[in-house]
Amino acid sequence: MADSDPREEFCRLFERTGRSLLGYALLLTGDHQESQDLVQEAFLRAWREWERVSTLDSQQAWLRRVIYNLAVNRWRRLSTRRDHERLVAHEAVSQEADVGQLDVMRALRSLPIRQRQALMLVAIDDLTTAQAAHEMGAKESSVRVWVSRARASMERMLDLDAAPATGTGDHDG
Amino acid sequence: MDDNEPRGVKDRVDQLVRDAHKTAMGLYWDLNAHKILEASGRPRSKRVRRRASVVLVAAAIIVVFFVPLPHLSLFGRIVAPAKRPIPTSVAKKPLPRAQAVLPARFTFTAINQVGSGLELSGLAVPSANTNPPTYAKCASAKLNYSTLRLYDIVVASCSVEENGSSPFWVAEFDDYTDHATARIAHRDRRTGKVVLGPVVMTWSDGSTTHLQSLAGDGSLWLFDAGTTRGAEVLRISEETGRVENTIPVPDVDRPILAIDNDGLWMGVATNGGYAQGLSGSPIYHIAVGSNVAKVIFTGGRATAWMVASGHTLWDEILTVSTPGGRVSQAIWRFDGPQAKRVFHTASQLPFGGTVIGDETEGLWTVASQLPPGAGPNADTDTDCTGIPAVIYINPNTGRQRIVTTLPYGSDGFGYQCDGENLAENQGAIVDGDLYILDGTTGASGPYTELFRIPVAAPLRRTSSSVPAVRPQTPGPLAIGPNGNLYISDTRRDQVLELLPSGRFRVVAGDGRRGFSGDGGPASAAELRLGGAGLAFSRDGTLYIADSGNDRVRAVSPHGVITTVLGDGVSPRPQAGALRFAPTPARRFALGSPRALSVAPNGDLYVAATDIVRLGPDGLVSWVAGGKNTSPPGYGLIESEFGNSTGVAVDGRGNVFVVNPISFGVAEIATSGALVNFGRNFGFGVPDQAAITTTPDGDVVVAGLNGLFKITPSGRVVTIGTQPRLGRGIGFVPFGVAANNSGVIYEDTNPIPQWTYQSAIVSVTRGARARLLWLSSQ
Repeated sequence: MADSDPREEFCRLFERTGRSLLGYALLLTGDHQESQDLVQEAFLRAWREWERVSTLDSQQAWLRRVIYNLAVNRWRRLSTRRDHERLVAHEAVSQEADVGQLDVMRALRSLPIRQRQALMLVAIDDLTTAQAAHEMGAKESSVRVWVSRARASMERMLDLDAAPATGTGDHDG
Repeated sequence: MDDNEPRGVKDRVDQLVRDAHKTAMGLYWDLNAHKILEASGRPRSKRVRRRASVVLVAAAIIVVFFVPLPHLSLFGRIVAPAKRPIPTSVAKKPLPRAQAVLPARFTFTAINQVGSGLELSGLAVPSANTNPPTYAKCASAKLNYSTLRLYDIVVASCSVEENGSSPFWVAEFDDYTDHATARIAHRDRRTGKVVLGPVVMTWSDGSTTHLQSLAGDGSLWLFDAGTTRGAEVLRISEETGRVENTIPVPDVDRPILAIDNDGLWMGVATNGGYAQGLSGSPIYHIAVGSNVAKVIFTGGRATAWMVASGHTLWDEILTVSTPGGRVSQAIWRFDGPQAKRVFHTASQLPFGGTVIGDETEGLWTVASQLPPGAGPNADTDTDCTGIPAVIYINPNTGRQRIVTTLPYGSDGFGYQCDGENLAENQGAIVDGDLYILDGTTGASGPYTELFRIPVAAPLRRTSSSVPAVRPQTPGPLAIGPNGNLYISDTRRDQVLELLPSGRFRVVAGDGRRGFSGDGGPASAAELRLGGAGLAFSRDGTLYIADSGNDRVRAVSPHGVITTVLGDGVSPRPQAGALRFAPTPARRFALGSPRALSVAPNGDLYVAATDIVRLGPDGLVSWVAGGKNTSPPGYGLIESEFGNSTGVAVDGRGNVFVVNPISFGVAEIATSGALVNFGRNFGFGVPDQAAITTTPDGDVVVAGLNGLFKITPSGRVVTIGTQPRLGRGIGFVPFGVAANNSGVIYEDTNPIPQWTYQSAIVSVTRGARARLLWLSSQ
């Protein structure tokens, strides 16, 4: 096991985590093509740094992290190149183009990026807030707040709670 | 709070997210591991890795043993000037009166601007106590927009000197044993608690009056009259608590210390207190890092106060005209170690002692000798000999104007009416407001009053006839030879300069996107910036990475723009090719230059498709990058530095680049091989970071998750997390620059759903961030 072919190890990692990461990237960016590129690029980087990445406790966490960085970079590149218009148009289109769970995805995408990321780590990847905080490079208390706000916003947007939410209106945008 | 949420809703939200994720996973994805492996070749071999570590160790050894320590220029300004516009003209209308903003229970002795607030330190006196020293406690407090929070009580019986940097002095004295001690304390940034360090000095005569300290950035200076060797000025490292320098000085009564970028100044009234104000009052200049004291005799005067900021020393001097012994006052200004007198006003100036120095735009002071009825808000209280007034002094002409008067009398400013309890270092300008501490005496004993006087806001309105230039998308940054911040604005296609007044000036670019203007004034030229870097050469030439035009432009100190690198042909034919032979700069097909840095020898380093170097001979040479120059198995779809956002050359000519492949920063060895620092950033990998070097030889890395520095020994140190602009708003650094005092400047730009505002901040050595500009919205 220890001396197994790194290519095989890498393929196993992809089999194990690839689809989940694609889903993660899609929820993060809302763009099918873009999320595929992100995941591909993240795995490429993992392979280039394989000697190091293969020794990590959680390769998936590393990959999620890279996907997140790459996604932010993409936004940043676009914003410096004054392609805001393109970016906005692009995302609007992909919002419609993506299938299934549209409301949930739309609601997710309207969350601030850190809230979205925190909620996804806790809900999808079943991380504790401490683990999520470590992965996000943030304080646990912040993560807890982000998750809590994210849930509250989602609840409001998706009209989940039929019962009136009394007296806890701290989301005064 | 998590627990406050109804369990059911929480679970349902999470379940919906999980379902959405499952759906997303189930979509058609045209991606598999073999495809990725095909695209990427082999992983990096162990041999290369080992070679890199050998280079790293060798570099570390070289740094440790052969490279002299960087010049110690550790000191920032003692009184930070307000960056919000403090106008040079004075309003004709009287300003609103000063408001008291502090409860009367404390006697604070120092006030300093920290971030967007004030820090006060001194003695917290129980209000019923009439003998403060016995029962006093050291206290520090923070004031943010008039909300005072007393956040620490340190020890019994002490005095605190805190001058704006994180560590400060606590001197304690023991009434029974007559022993006095001094320690360095610092405030824990997370908890806000003051942590006392070990005792670094003791005096057996029980007096801490020897002690007069100043906190520079990195060291504390202390005048100690109580040593067995006589009087000394000591420099003590904040980090180790050890005495680093001892400088013998004359044994004098309470000298005044001030520190600026050039070193330490000590004003000495050799004949005792300035109230007697007699002859022979030298000012010593002690250059930082040396024991040499230059003495400047101002002659016939005694020093009353000194304020140093930047490279400027302000000194108010009492003069005595012998016939009749009439006391008059003057303000002197010294620029740099040459101590040139800039102006001297010999007329009677009614200064009290609180002086707030504003390096470029003037001085603010409180006068105490104004005759009753003389001020714009004239009151006539005949019990007082004078009315305290806020006076603005033009730094260039020395002209003074009364800006407003202050409330006075038993219920207001200066119970004594003469403002005699105002002392140096008791004022600060924050956010356009002037804050002044005044000691006074109430029924229950002495206490401090803190007044806020809005000096800037009404004045700003009167002087806003010129349309202001505002940044839109502040990008890469550089510090000019004048110490000002230069900003490449990618949306305006202009380079702006941030003036000390807080205004912006256009340096290059007429705001239209294009290519034109070579040979003419830079502000009339068209540029195509786009995340384009800036760098200054020693002679003051500004280099601009005109990335959309595939050229590097240069703006001479006289403001004429030219093209110095690139033929404007894109894409570059040699892109990704093997290393190329040196090529004449104007015939070189440069591809999208992004970051620039000037080496100590004047070579210009450009991060473009490759990393290239422009030498003084006008030839461009290859430094690193390009597809086929990467280590084996490492050359990939894009060239190694195809997207590098940063290049920085330190004082020894070492070249650092942001390595967008490995998520980190790499040093380029002379062979073109890379020494990566990527893994040292842990999870906080700064991808697409901006980097710069400091005068200390550190490489500062501004990444998404924080501000880091790589020390000359190769250690990665986290300076802090990125500043927060507000709730839920992130900080995504685009540019970073560091000035000679080690202050770091960064900016951020909107990214959808991450951050919605642009901002420029400065971060001091104490990792304190200060907002210099924030976009509206």
